[in-house]
Amino acid sequence: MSSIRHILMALASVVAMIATSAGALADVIKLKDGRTLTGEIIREVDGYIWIKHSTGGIEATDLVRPDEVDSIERDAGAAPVSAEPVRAKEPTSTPRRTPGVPRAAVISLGEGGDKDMVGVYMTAESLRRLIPILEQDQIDIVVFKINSGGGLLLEIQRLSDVIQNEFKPKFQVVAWIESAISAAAMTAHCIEDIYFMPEGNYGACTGWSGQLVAVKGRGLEEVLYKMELISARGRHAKEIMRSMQIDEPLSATFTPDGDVKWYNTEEGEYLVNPKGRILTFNANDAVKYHFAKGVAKTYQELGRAMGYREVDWVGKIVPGVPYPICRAEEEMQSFRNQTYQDQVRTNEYFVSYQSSVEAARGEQDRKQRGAMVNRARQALRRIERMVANNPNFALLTFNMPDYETFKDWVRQQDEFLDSLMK
Amino acid sequence: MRLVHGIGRMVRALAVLGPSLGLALLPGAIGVSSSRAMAQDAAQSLDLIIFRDGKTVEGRILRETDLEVEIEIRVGGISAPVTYRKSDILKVARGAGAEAAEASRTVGTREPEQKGDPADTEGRARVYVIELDGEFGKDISQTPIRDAVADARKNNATHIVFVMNNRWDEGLRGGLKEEALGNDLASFDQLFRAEDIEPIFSKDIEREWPNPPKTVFWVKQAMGGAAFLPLVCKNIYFAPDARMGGIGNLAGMFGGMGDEVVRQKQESLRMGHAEGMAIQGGYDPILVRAMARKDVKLVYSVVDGKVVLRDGDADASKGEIQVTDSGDKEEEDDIVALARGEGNDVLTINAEWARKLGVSKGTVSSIDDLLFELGIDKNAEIVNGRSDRIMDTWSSGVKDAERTLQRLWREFNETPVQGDYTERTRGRGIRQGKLNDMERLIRRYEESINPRRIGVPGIGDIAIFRDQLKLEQLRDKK
Repeated sequence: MSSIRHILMALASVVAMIATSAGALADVIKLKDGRTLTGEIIREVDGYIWIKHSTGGIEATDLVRPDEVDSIERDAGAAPVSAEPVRAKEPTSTPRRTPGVPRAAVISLGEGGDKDMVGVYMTAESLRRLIPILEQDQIDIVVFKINSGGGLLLEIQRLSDVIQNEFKPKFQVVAWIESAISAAAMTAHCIEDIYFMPEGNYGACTGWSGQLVAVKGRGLEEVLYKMELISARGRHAKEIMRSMQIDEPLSATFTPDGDVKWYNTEEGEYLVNPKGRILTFNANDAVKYHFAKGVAKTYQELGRAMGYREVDWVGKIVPGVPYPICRAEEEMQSFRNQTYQDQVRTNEYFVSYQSSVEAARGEQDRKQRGAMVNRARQALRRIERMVANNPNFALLTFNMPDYETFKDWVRQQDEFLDSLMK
Repeated sequence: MRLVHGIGRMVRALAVLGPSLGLALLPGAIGVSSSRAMAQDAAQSLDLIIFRDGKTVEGRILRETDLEVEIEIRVGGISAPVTYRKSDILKVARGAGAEAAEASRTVGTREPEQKGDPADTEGRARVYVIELDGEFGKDISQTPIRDAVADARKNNATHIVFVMNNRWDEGLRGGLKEEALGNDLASFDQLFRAEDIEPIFSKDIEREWPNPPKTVFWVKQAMGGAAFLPLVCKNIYFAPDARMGGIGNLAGMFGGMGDEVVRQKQESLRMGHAEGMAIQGGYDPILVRAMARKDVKLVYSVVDGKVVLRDGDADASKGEIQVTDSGDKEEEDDIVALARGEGNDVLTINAEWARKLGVSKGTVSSIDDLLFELGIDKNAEIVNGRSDRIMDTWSSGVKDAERTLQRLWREFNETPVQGDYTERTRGRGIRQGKLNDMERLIRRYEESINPRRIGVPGIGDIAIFRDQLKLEQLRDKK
């Protein structure tokens, strides 16, 4: 029933979009700067015009001042009901571009709750898979909306490398922080353009294990050095991350030209983080001290905060989701959902595999044994798919160093199952 | 050894616009029709203000400064001066009233007020009340609140009043429900349950309603995780004997476990989340710091009519007041203060301090008083919605589900798998049915039920039991 309801809601959304677009795409305002706004003029007062239009499936209302208008065509190009609006909603391999308007995609990294752990739900591999999709959809700006309470140290460098070496050369990369704690903040730290949601938080990057035991010695020094390098990638003062990692205070002084000079002492004009505490930025302080470039509650606000008059936010509007869902984001959500299912059912997969193997071993009847072996094989395939979706499970679940080692193990198991039938 | 960074869930807003004071009183009336009436009366001499969102106001401009415009408007034959902020205004067009207003009417329609005081098409305020009582995170949970908000939308509410009055009694700890818990008892980590719920107030309503209602929190008791929720709302009112707090255990949450730097990390990330909630509502984050940590010494003063809060020692000569102290040594609250709810190691906000600190906009003892304070007492209608039934149904559903889960689990274990093949098959079928029923109940109420706490297996374990039943059946022979 639930899935039927979802399908009906999605259909209703598409129908509504078609109706709105077919009836509304009738007025064309040509601006003096060469741009054209096509939509419905919903209000005119003293030469000022408010026009509602749809861009990339997203409805927005823009104010146009009298001095910006070159010409107005009313009821121009009233398009017949066609698949056109649907194309605008659903990105294809040849998306229509509005000249001068960047195309942006929101990609969520973590979604809080049970699906937020770096290394499990935020992985380099899952990010890498998105690049061809983003390129196909001609995305210019990738906004990483981050909501994660942290995770595994081992994934930070991989994530940073993918963002730095594979995303940055192709896209303008922006971090939009809902919550970036620990490994999540360390992941975002290679990004220069950081914006906060009003509730945003960022920091608390102290490494630990077990019963709240801190990473110490050479291990700590290596992480501190790693984060110095990653800070340089994001053009962030290294002092900031240190105060997020270890017990070093952080203070700041604004220079006459408006820059901020940072100190891991309390000598600066403003004490940002006192000794004895670990730094986590809230939105107010992140902006005050120029760590973040702005605060945006919605993706529309984010576009404006980034300095764009217009942004083509690519994707579908889905009820309950506060940003358009593009194809790459669908892929990311699918990855997380599958990972979650697998994580919840890992024990079931293993118990099913092991008990089926044991049952097969003790079964004398060949037909019955075949049924057990088939059951074991089904469980093995689930385990295989689980690791194929998220190679980090090889280490986290099997304590195997890499995916290749895991594949070898699967081959061995298949051979073993074959042997049971000989 | 895995190195972990993070929580890891360790334990785990004129009638015609803007926030202008005068127009907030008569939102619906200052629409197209009133403009038309004015145009008939004195069209030639009217001035026009065009606001950034496309709305307009006609009248006679009395005063204009760099920051404000004061205009005399007429509503229902009554004239009243109203002041608008220049930042909300696109253009001031003197003498342009009638023509421009006509232009406006030909293409646009007045939208119901959204950011100031909303009203329905007849200018009435439709007030929908949602009582949030019971145990926070269990009775007060996202699913029933979303359902109640959806019912408010169905009823065209213009105002939603959330009455926060969560349980804070010994019954939560296995004692008597009649015995109230003190202000010093705390449950900071309910913050993460609050984060599951708060988007309904801070984001969903604004995003999903075509004309968002004004949301108001009326706090009677907001203790523990419930203390965070009102903070995401800009409109908070307190009942006279209300209290808000019960999150003062942050520093001691981890006891002496592990290294201090990691305990500090854990505290820091939690404060980051909590401060974010206060910032969303427009409140000074130092308030939640003072509510959560004994070592924050909250100092209050009023400078140039504005409340100033800081962490430190109060200077009485400057009129500063020490609201909370260090809680250290001789400043630690004694049992007398704690028993009377008068401790000041951490901040527990009562009605008086809520008003002083700028947390509440007023103290009211009834819904009628609240409507008066909101300025809608003369045109408000309390909507007779289903919220009480929705919240009650959820609460009783959770309680029933817990009992039923325990019963199903007991019956699962008591169902024999014995006898001949047909009987064994039937036994396994009954067991599987019990597991399926358990899974459905857990999925329905999973936000409010912790299977382990009531001694029944979770979803993952149920899947394993089911798989084993299938295997047993496969191996069984007639």
